[in-house]
Amino acid sequence: MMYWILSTAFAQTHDWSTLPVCLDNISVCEEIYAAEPLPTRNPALFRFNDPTLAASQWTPIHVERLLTEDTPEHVQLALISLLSQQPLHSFGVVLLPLYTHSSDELRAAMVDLIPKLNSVDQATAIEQLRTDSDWLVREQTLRMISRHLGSSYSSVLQDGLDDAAPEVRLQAVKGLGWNDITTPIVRLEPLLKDSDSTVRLNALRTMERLHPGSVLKLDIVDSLLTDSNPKVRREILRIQKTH
Amino acid sequence: MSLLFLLLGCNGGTAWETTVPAIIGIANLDDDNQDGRTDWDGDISDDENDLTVFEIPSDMLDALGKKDSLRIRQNNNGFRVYVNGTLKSNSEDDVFDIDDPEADIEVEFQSLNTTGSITVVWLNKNGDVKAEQEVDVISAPMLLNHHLQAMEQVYAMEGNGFVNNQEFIQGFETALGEDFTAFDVRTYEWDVWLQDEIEFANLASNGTRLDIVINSIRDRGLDKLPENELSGADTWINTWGSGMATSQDSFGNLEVAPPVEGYPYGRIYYGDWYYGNSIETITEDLTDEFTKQELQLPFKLDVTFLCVGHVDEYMTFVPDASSPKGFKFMLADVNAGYDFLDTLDASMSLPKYASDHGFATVGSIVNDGALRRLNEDIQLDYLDPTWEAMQAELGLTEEDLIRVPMLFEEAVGCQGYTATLMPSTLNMVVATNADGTGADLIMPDPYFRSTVGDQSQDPFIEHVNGLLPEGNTPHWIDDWADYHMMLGEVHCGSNTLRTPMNIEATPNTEESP
Repeated sequence: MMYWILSTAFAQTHDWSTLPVCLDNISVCEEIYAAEPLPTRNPALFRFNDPTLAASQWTPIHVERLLTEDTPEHVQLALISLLSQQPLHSFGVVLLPLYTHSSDELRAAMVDLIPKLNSVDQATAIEQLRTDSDWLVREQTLRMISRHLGSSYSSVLQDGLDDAAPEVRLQAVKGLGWNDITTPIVRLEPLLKDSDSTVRLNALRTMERLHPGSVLKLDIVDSLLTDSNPKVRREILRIQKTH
Repeated sequence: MSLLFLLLGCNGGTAWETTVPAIIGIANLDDDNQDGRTDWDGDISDDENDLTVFEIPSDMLDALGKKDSLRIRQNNNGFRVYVNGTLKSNSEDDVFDIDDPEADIEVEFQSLNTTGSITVVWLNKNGDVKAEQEVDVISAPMLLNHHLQAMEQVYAMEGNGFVNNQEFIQGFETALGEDFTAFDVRTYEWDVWLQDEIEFANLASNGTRLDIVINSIRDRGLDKLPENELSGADTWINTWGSGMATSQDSFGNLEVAPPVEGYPYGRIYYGDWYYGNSIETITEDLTDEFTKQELQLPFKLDVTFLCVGHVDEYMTFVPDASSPKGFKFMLADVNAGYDFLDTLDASMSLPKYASDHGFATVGSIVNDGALRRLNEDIQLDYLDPTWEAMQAELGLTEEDLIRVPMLFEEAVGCQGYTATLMPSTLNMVVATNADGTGADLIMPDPYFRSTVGDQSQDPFIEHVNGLLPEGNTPHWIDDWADYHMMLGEVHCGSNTLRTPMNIEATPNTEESP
């Protein structure tokens, strides 16, 4: 019922005062809606420092504010941080349009809310974002999968190995290792020659995690030992020492 | 000739049968008479306390015949010489005679990094030169403070509205009493990150002292705090650099290791943050100053794994009177973190972590495979290299290290870059006692317990207390909402004024604070 009322409110006026939670708390809702985030220690990142805002009863207000077109970007990003602490199972329908929003940054930031959606909405959002035109959005999607959804989306990670953007390839190969997703050596080996050193480093580490010692049998070991990046050299030496 | 050589290896010429120590003083950059002008640019006032007394060694004076006399020649610009309070020389090649060998001779320095000399000339009754002695003249370099120097005052920002950190403030007051001062955060746009805005440094030699407040180019809400709250007769506020600041320009990213062999004043270290092929780091104007200073020669660490990217997030130094070096290095350690968690009941609830980090129990952390891999990567790529750098640059050994249990987690909104999952113990205030043998350690309450209100039930606190060297007193204070969840901790939200190190011509490493 609440979900229906909420959806109606969003669809019609984007007016928080019609939300059920606000009917008897209009002044409190006003304060919640108007709360200002503070810059964190990282000046580019804003968050709300008032713990009372994180109470689940206020989630509809935060969602409403996030959806409102004239909400400033730094407030939107702070709202996403706040909402990432809440279950959002019933908010997928209203949030999904933001995954096609015109702002690349907003789409990328919205990725952090995907683990909080129900599984159907998660799948819808990921299907949308995995082929997003912006590499940052694709990178963040694969990063989120690597960290939170793992083997449920192993094919997205596998496909990411072939992405044109090194940032995406990095998250893909890292995620396969983090989540012990079975991946043939032949699929990983080309990434040991990737033009991006962080991809090479993480390909090496993932190969060691999934196929311990196997990298040492490849011809590429010698070139890894003289890799231009010290972290790659360090990693192959570490693997050698382990075996 | 390098400043390091002058201070550590050379005391001037050897004529006149004795060695004359270098004249080391402090730049007269403050405003002792509070007339709105730097003292070097004004007349000497009765309030002046930054001139350095030069006493001609008694064996040189004893050698003079009854009708012999002395002359002094200034060999460089950048300082002045006064006799009995009267200006006698002001620039290169100025020469004057000293009628009374017992007169008070004082030297005033224009700026940091002045090195030069005077020549003391022995004249016979006919005015012929019998001997000369060149004496090096050096303005004390700006030194940054390390954690073994005594704490004089700790500062933080206080609020009870938009920022509401009363428990944080009370924690400091309980631990430090009158040695703690809080400023009203409302005046400074609710900017609580006092560590990041300023760095205390100083000049000190032969009883003179100038406190320096380095004002960061960060320029957030606290930008005017130094002028409003910290200015005074013996304080100089200055900014090095300009333009667009990075997070690495904040001074939580600028720390000093205690004295070690070859570096009796400690060493500066700071973090670089790599983004593709570019490096974000501290403004070059400032690092150039440190390089020029030489004594605390800086070195760099890779902090790219951190969302904020400051060295104070994951390491610190604390006094240890029982250690030959006088300190222990404390470093975040992921393996120690998991080892600690493995000692706990997996079903132990963690209410604070449930609501704010999504981990309801110890088991939910331990069994999160991707989190473990994320942390393993951080250990391999950043924490182990940090320890290797500390060993290489400071000569530390395993005996000097305390591995502190810690885990990192991706910070929401930070595109995969991390912050500590537990409030970082390493991000502490080290309020060192007068003799440098111990400290009050003000650390963030980890809330790693089921009963949020009862610190005595916190196994993390108990564990870390057991790691601390004797002589240190732990104080665990609340910083969760306004600091930890805002990607900082206790050290980030405070700053510490310390008793300066005295610059000497031949400092003794073992006795340096």
